[in-house]
Amino acid sequence: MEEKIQGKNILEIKDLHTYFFMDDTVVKSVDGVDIELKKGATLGIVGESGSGKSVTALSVMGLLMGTRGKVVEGNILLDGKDIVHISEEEKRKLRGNQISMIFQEPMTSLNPVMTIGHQIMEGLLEHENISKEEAYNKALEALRLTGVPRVEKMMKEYPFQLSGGQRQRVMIAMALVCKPKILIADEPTTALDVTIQAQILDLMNNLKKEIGTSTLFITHDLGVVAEVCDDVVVMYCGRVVEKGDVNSIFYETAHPYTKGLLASIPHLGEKSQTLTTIPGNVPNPKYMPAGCKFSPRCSYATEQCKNEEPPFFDMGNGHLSKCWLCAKKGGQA
Amino acid sequence: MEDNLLTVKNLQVYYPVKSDTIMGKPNYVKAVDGVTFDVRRNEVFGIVGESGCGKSTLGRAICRLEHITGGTVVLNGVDITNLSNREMRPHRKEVQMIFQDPYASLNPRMSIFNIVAEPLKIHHLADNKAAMTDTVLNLLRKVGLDYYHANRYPHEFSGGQRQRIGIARALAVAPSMIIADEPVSALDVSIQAQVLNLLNELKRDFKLTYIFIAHDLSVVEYISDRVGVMYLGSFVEVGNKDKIYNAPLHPYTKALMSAVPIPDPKAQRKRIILQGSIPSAINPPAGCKFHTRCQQCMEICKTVPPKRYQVGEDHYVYCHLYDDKIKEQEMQKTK
Amino acid sequence: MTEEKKKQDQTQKPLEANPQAAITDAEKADIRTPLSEAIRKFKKQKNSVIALCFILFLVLVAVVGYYLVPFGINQYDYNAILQGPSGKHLFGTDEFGRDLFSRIVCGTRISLAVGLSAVTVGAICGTILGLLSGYYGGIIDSIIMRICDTLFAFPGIILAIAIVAVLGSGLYNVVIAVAVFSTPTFARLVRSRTLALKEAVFVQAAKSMGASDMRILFKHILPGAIPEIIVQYTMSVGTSILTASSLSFLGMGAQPPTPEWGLLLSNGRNYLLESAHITLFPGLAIFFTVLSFNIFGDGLRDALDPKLTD
Repeated sequence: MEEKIQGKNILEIKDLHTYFFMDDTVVKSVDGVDIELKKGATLGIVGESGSGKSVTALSVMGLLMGTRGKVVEGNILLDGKDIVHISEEEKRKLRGNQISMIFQEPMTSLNPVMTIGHQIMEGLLEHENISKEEAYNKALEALRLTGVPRVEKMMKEYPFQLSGGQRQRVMIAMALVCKPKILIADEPTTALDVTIQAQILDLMNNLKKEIGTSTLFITHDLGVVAEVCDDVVVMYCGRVVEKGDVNSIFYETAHPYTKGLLASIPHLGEKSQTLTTIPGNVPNPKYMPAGCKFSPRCSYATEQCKNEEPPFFDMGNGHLSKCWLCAKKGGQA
Repeated sequence: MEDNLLTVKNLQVYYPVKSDTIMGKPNYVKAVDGVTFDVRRNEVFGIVGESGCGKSTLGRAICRLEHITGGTVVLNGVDITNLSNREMRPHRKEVQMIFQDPYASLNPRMSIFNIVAEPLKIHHLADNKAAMTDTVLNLLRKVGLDYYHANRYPHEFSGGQRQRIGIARALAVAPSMIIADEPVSALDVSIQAQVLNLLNELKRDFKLTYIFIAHDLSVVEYISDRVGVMYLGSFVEVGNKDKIYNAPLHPYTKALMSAVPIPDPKAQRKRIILQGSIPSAINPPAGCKFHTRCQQCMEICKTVPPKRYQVGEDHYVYCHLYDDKIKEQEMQKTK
Repeated sequence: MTEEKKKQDQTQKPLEANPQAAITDAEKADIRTPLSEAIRKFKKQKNSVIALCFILFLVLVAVVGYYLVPFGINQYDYNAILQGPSGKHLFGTDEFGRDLFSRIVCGTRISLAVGLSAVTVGAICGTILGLLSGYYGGIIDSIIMRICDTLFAFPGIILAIAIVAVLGSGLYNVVIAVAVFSTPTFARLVRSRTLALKEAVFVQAAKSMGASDMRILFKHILPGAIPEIIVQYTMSVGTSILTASSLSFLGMGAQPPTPEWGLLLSNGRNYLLESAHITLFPGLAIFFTVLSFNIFGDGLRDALDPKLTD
């Protein structure tokens, strides 16, 4: 992997709490999350269902209005500026312009009745004061950058005429056309075939080299994380349980949940009789365990783990782990 | 031959599609286009391929859930290809299916108990209520659930748990073969491992035979004994799992293997990136269906569909590159 | 595999824990059947709960009202004709001196009986036709749907009039007429649900188990259509009561001296200017009854719609 890109943090999420207010309960989807995205780097957010990774992305985009979700506490700073406690109008100006998002389902994320060219130009015309012709040319360039053959033809086509991989490239073009500061990719390759996924990951790596986008890459696939990410954040039950650069996470795994995840994926070419698994299920949000949220499923759990939620421990080099067992190895963060 | 629980010869599943003009020739979506393979007793036969390759349709056709257009399916010595619904019913006890979507495969209005008991009721396998309850609770326990789950409804369970319920339901009739159609694709990674281990355990305990359909190469490698790689409705490579995974021969298999992301940041990746996307199944390319994306395409590939060539013990490839005669001809041409 | 990875794997310990222990008894006892979910959602809609209470009240009145009214329904009193509402006659009297309140209360039983029975017959017939039509398709579907199309082509009330004209007046024929024009609505509804559910994965699963068509239709598809049927049922009751009243108003339904609400309305026509109360109170009775069924139906639809979940 390329050498770590030093620089300031372009995105800082500080102590984020996003709750969903249902009829009889409050679902604490994100409950105290701190994430830093360095300029020009790709940060992978890894987690399974209920981990809160998608809700974190929606909180950054400010797309919670209209749902029952609300950021009840915490701050999100884009390039030093707060983007939570601003008006809806200001949030709208940021979207597509400074923060862009690409979604998991390319089938449903594109408007079926607008041409591709039109959809890419929409963001440009909305946020920049340019003529239609200029917007068309910029859109063309963005689409060309994604490696699509016969760009002019595709600009006039409709989404139903395109394959899944092509639609995802269009989404990437739409996201990058306004040259945003950060790109949020929410499981962008999960719905794609593995050969198409390889193409898209290749594309994203190339774009990173050419344009230098800072990316928040949300996924559950650790293979993809190893391919494209510089830093990793592992989430469980709305909390960050481990974070660090990609080598620390894969080679010096500290948290039992991360260890369990790595051990439970079959690796191509590996001969083993039984996959080690993480027993049990993600807890029901209404019946969250006390203490460390992972303790019911953790074979290293102690009495302390079951009663007290652990703080972060610094394993060195910015590698943090939220586990009492790491107290011996690292100092308190 | 008694070793083979299932023999499929030249299976075809074609769906008619409205043609462009009124008098035009009818078009067909050739979802499964001439598939031949055997499944031996107590083995796991993995079928792997990308979307649109027809693997799910193949699985459903073997189960007689799809209309079979051509070819034969012989299960346990009986040709079940053209049996009527009534004739098919006793044979349905021998082969059961586990479906991909754990959220759609269980009737949301039936309690778990009723869902698992249904096959027992259909085939009259329980003498009385007490025996039925006993069997159902045993099955639930076998798949890792508990007695208090029996009175609940599907929406109260997670994806992994619903998949376990689906497995319990499939086991209720004591089948010889289970066709698992992408059983873990919709599950979280940590739950996938649980369900895969469960499937292995059940195979040992109940002496089952599996056909395991998936698009995830690592998962198929983990669980299968023999594997078939599908592309646009037919196999491109079939045989012993180790041979195919260690030394893939078909260009598509090679590209597929190289495309899988490896969870190891420092691993070397020699990726074969395929150009283009999967062609339409209504108008597949002539000759070898893969020739439009193949980097080793020869002239003959564009017109003549490849036959099955044996390249080792239990290793077959459908590719002209492995036909000795053709290899010689090509070498002659380049000289 | 790289060296680092191999080293990492060697320090893995197998994970064994007992996560079942963490599940509390409260969680074990927390069962949420589809019915309890629906009731919970329904209770949130205050309007519909009030409408339901009113309907239950009407049912009560229909059952016991007959025995509790102060006057008989045919108790003439020529000394008290066309009197407005008073302490003795809560809703006043009609041209024969009969107490309007008692007549309206007793008419409740008739209206509800006609409304409910007509829709029940229509619902049962329509459901069966819809199931067969949707599941088997082909000729059966074509025939049934063409019949429904024909029936739909007529406005309901015109169709009802035509049927009663053929069969003769009287409440039984009104019930038949309303049942006939309700059937296509249910048939269409159930057919479209059947078409959708036929492709559901759990139906495929049932087929793969060897379930017979009957089993699939009645154990899998019909339960999936029940919510829509129930909602349509409550909405149709309102229409049915209105139609029965209209037919009686036109002289084709109930015959005098039956205290059917529509007939009461019709009687009051001649005295509209001086004694408006004779038309007002039956009119209000019809109005509130139909309204409450409609509001109840709305609330039911929201409660039973699986897509409107939080």
